Amino acid sequence: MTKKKDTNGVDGISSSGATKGVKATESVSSVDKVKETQAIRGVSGVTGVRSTSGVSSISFEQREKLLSMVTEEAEKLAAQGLIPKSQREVVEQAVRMIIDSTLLEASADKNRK
Amino acid sequence: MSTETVPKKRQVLSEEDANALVIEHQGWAESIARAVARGWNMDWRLDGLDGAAMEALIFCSRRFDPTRGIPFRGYARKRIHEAATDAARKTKGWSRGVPNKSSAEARAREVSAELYGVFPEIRDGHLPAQEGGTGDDQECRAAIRELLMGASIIATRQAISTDPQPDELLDYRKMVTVMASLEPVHQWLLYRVYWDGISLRNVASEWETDGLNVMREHKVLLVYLQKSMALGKAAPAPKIRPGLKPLVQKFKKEGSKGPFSDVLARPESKPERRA
Repeated sequence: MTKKKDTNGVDGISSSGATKGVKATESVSSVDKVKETQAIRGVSGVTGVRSTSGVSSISFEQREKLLSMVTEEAEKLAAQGLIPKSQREVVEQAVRMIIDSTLLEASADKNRK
Repeated sequence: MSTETVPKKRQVLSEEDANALVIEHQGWAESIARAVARGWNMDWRLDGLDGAAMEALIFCSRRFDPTRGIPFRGYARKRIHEAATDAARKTKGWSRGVPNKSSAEARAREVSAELYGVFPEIRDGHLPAQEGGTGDDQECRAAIRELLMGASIIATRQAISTDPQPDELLDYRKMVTVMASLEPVHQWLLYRVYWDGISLRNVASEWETDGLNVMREHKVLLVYLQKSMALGKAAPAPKIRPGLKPLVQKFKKEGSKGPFSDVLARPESKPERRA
């Protein structure tokens, strides 16, 4: 008597299904046109970056304050010996002049507008 | 294919639009002339500053290119201010000062006129910029100190050229000694600006380096001078920023120790100029 082979419950293998076909690739029918670029209308301000060089705008309203600052700072620098005593008056006056000559009074300008 | 970019052609306004610009900004240009006259204690009409400002305004209106995105006042302010200061310097009263005052006023005018070359941003209504500036009082004071130091160098240098007093000679000697302890490139920077009267921007183009390198180094040098003058001797010399390092080699090759070192070594000679 021949011993029946143990098939572990597998009764048989059905035939493998044949590959029926591969779909052909389709030709590219159309490509969308590249849209025109648009001008950048604006850029929002940079945030979180420490300025490397601040620019201090000065106005006529600050005149008295600025000129008195010049006198105070000139006094301090002269006391420390940073401005030669022989030049103290000239140096202070020169800086007062250069600051004063850049402060524009707005009144006449406003009247014209 | 060439990659060269063709410079954009200037697009100026029509004569009608340019004239409209002149009419619109006439009052503003006059306010610049008045500011210059007020600063230098002159009369803006009698001294001809009004005419100079108007001429500059008309010139700017003809040259203004609105397609460049710069507002007209931003473009014209410096030019009109320059025209007004140039006119003021040509007047008879420029070097006289006001009656009953010493020549201090006339000297102060000369110093302030030179100061515009060192700090051209003043013409646009800005104080010298400070690092990390916040626009507060402290920044204003720092900028004013910078102006005072610049004016001090110019005043000391000017005094030596016209019949100097003994104390002025001593001040000059002290300043030159402090400057002589700097690196040659730093000495040349100060010399070109304060002795040759070349603006920081022009020194930068002459040295083929970025303008910011020169401007920032100039600030460092003014702080150094403040420290040294306060100490009464030369403070530790500041380091040279990387952007100016190529010049170190150049000056080394030329064997230059710096104009102020040369002056101290040979008191009677004038330093040789370097391009």
